[in-house]
Amino acid sequence: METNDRYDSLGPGFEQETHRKNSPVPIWVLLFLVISLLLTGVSMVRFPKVFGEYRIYVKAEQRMREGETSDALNDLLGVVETHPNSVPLIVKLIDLSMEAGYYDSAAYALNEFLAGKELNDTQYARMMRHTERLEAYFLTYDVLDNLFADMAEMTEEEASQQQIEDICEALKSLLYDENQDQAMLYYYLATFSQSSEEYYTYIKQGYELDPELFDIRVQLGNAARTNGYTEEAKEYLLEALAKDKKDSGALRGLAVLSLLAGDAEEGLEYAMEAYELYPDGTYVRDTCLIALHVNGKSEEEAAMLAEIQEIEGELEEDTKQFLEDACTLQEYYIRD
Amino acid sequence: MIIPGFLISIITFPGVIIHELAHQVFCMLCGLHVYEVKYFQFGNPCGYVIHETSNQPSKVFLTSMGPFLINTILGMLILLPASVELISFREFSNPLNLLLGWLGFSILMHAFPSTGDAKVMVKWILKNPDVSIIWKVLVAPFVGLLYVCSIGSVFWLDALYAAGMGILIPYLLAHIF
Repeated sequence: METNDRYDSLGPGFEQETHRKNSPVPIWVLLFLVISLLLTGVSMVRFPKVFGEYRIYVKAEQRMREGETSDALNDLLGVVETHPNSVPLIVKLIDLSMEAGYYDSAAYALNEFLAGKELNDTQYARMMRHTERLEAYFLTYDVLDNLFADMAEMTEEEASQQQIEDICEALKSLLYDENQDQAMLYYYLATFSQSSEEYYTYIKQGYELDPELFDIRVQLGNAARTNGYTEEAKEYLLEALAKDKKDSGALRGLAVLSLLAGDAEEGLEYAMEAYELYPDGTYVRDTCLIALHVNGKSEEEAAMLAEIQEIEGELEEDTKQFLEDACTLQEYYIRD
Repeated sequence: MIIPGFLISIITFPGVIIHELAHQVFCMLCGLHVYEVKYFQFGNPCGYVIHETSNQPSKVFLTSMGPFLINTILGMLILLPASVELISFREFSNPLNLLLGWLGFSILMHAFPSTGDAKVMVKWILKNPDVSIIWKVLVAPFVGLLYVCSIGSVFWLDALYAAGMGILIPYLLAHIF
């Protein structure tokens, strides 16, 4: 067997010796190797979970762009709860929650996780801006809470016209207070408005100030539809769906628009999708019922009717009228 | 910042041990006798392997480049989850993460074969008249790279490699999968 020394590659100071037997691996090296491999195993066992969390962190913005806002933020919150000391995670959660108008989630993250953490200058400046925004949000929230406290126990019939007018006046006066969340004020002004046109005007003003507030896009879409602006309504509802594919309110709104446009099949598809996501959403079951009726699916219609009666009680009068063919779809939805 | 190499080697000694062990393992796999192994010492070099050489370019290449493969793979496997929590999440409270991070980083830092290994490839492949031109063309870039990495190590290239792998690989994996 040809042998050549390679001592020359090691530089000066190495004597040329001839060894003919293999140098065995010492026990301590084997032990070291075993420990390294054990730690490798430990690392590999941990990796899938950690990598999953890292993916959620890295892909959160992309998922939001792709219409998975609620899922992305919920998943990110889950990761933050697993790593409550990670400033980058917490800051990202707060940033993205604020961007998406999830102000309650952002406030929760700020109070629960960020308190006591060290931030760099950029992060600090950004969190201060978020805090200012949230202060206005919660200030208005508290004011509205107090305003509505008396009405909480009343039914719609019991709340007198005077009380509603008083609340509207109080809300309008708050519009001059720069510390208040103006978009929220307009949102609630719309709630107490006396006509669909007024509702539309107020909601649109709120949307222009903060398009991410609550479900303002859905409300605006429905308001536009009620006032006969169906193309505009579709735009707002699709915008809401682009933000979150699981927005049952947007799906329900699109179901109504499809039914009004004469596309019964598409209307039913949207309605059922809304139902599967969140059956307890506002008017979701009713819209399903209408869509099933329009599509002539009488068995499913009967089942849905039974479900509504069991969970929500009697149908609204105008819904009954439509099912009895006493009014058209246009009259039912446009006069909302 | 110039810090003596032996100091860095002391701090990252697991990488040195794995590096020399990788040489030894590949020698054994290629059927080459290993005469002496210094897995770690306080000095320069901080470790070495004295082994039989060969006229077969594949064996010379594998025994020389072995540490790059082993240190990179083992270092990555150990460092990956720790690097996410240490580098991306900036969580430093878990002692296991700190241990894995130090171990993985140390191993990755010693992935680059030495100029000694480059010289072996030069002598037994590039300057060997019995080796085909194809092997010489294939191996030459690796030899060049080893010299570049050796110079680069003065400017912390080896540390950058370790840190880069710890940051880049999880990021790429997250976007691919």
